[in-house]
Amino acid sequence: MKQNPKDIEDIDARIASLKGKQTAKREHSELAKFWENGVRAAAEFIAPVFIGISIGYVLDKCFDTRIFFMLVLAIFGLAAGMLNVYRLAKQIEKEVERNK
Amino acid sequence: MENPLEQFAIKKLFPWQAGGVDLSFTNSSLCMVITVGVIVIAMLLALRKCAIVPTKKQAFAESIYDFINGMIGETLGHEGYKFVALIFTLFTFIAVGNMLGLLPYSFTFTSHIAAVGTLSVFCLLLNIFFGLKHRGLKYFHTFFPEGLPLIMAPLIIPVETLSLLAKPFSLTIRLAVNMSVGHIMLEVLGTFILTMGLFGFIPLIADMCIIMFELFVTLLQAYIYTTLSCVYLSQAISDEE
Repeated sequence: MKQNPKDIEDIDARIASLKGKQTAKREHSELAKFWENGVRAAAEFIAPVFIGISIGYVLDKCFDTRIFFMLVLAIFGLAAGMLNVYRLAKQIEKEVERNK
Repeated sequence: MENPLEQFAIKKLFPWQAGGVDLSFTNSSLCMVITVGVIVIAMLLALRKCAIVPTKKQAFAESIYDFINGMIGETLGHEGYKFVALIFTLFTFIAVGNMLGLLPYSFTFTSHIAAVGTLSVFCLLLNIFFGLKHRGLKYFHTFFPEGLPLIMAPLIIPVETLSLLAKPFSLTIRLAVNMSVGHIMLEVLGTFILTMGLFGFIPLIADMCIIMFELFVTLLQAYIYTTLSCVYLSQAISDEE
């Protein structure tokens, strides 16, 4: 089959365009990952504090202990939040090392 | 100006009380049924005539499956491939539910804490079930890792318990808040289009941009929800402390 040199030029241009698209896709997925991690860190930190305060509020109502349980469980929630963020950071570190 | 929160109101379509429990079929239930219907019909149409060289529809369905398969491979490893059906269902249900919520006069059930919360609690119960099934009594080391001195138990056990209970909460809040905020923004800007008269095109353009952004957010939130469900599942079934 006769090969047209223009076809080869076209192929080069198409490969270059495809590579450009792939780079853009990778950047897009990195942005999504960045977003995901940021939102996740915030939620993982706040959620146990909120849960702790909520359970503490209910227990205080049940046992008529003013704010004792709320305070204690808020502190535990804070600790759990920090632990969650630490675990997330370790997980991200592992992923970054795996992708290197 | 219309109340921007009115769009989230639950309306009873078929009221039904059973044993003092309200089991009414609401607009939220209807949207869930429509979402499931759309997914089932789309999948049936796409996979009606499967071929080795796929058609566009088949390639689309397969690309979603590949995407979920890849996500599971990354987070759960080889062990996780048996959960493909579960994660695929979760992803498509949330993604299609989010997208259908963007249509005019529809209802976004994913903006409701009750709906998403139930899904998240179901995921947590599944995590506990599979954790116990895979690791047996070792699963309880999640609450008190092996090797720690017993004196640490009163500190570690409440912290780990709160951490576990916070998982469905953080999943729920993230999805529900993201969906609600986007829809409130759209509604508020929408009312400006009419009230600003000739200059109404400014909020109209902003609304169009936000709809595009919301479309991205709907898919991103479905992706985040399913990825995190996979991560939590992997934490439950893995032996790593």
